[in-house]
Amino acid sequence: MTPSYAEYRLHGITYVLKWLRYALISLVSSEPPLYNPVHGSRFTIGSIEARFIEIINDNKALINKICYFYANSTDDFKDLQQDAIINIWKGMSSYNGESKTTTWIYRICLNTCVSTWRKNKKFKSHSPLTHSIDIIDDPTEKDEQMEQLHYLINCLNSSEKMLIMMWLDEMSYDEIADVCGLNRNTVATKIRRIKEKLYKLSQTLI
Amino acid sequence: MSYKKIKEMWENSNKNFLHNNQNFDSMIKTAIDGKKQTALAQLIKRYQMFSRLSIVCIFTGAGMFKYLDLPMNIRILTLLAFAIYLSTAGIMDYWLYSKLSEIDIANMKVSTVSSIIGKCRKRHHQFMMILIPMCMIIVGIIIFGSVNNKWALGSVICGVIGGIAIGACQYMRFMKNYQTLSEEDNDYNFM
Repeated sequence: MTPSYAEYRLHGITYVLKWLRYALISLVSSEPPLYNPVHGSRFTIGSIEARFIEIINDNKALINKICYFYANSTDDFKDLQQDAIINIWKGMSSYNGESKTTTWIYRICLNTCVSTWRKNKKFKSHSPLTHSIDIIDDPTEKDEQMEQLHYLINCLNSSEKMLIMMWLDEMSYDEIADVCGLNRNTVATKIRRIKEKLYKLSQTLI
Repeated sequence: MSYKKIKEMWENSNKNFLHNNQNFDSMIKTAIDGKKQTALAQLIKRYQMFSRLSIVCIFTGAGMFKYLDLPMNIRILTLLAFAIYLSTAGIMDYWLYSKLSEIDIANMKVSTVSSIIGKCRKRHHQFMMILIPMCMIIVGIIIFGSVNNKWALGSVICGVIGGIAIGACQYMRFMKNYQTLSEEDNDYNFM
């Protein structure tokens, strides 16, 4: 059946609006959107791969860090890393650059950890994975500080851990609220309580 | 220890993670190739497989029941109970499969994902609590029907032991892929 004139016109208007939105995102955002609503993707398969590799390499530390704090063993850590990378790859087609890459990575990594994290009581202890995972390349780095930080973070429960990690990474309350799906005020209150808890915990270290 | 100190420690840890020479190339390649699935995808696939398998089992079970040395009325009752049990299990697995399939890791908020996972885990346990008594009723019916036949009785007992072993093994595999939301660590419930 041939589309009517009205359908053609509607299609044309939708096309123009989509392009305008796309152009606006490209102008406002520092990163180009991967998803092009008109042609599916602005990038070819090869360039999506290149962008994906770039994103992973730019956010390697972030991925490592989130997975590390949620893992209970070396195997868990590696599994979480792999799952997070797979989820980032799968999410590439829907990533339109509206949110910051770090926020997006945070969301994916936390969702991965929340949906696959396994608690094995055998491994659950306050001693961090510093010794079981070869995280620190430079032996001159302050190993003790790493351990202390892991001890403090591992004393918190999972949601507290998530909030404090984002706060320590200097994400705004709005960004944290957006990733977690919480109210901004709730985030602020929770973070204040966590900070108090961390302070009390840190006193035990001294 | 002040917050400033904690922040400083955090920044130091950032440096450590950044300078970690761990090779991501193989992980990137695995992701692009699509050869490996995430734990969540495996769980969803397993539920889908079990929901399909239960439908297939209704028909294969119906075909096999004619070989059972049981009185006709017991045989019909067993067949009926077996079909009800399998269709219930199939519906339950399908529900879990569809619920978990709703998860969109890249776009959903963490609280939404964790609540879906928590809900599914809770339902999984509840479904088990429904299916186990149903299974025991079926076994009871078969035992009742084969009291006079010691060979059949022996087979039923062996089957029950095997079934428990396989069931326990599968249950452990399912639970391994779930986030553990025990009472003591039920900390993802934001809302």
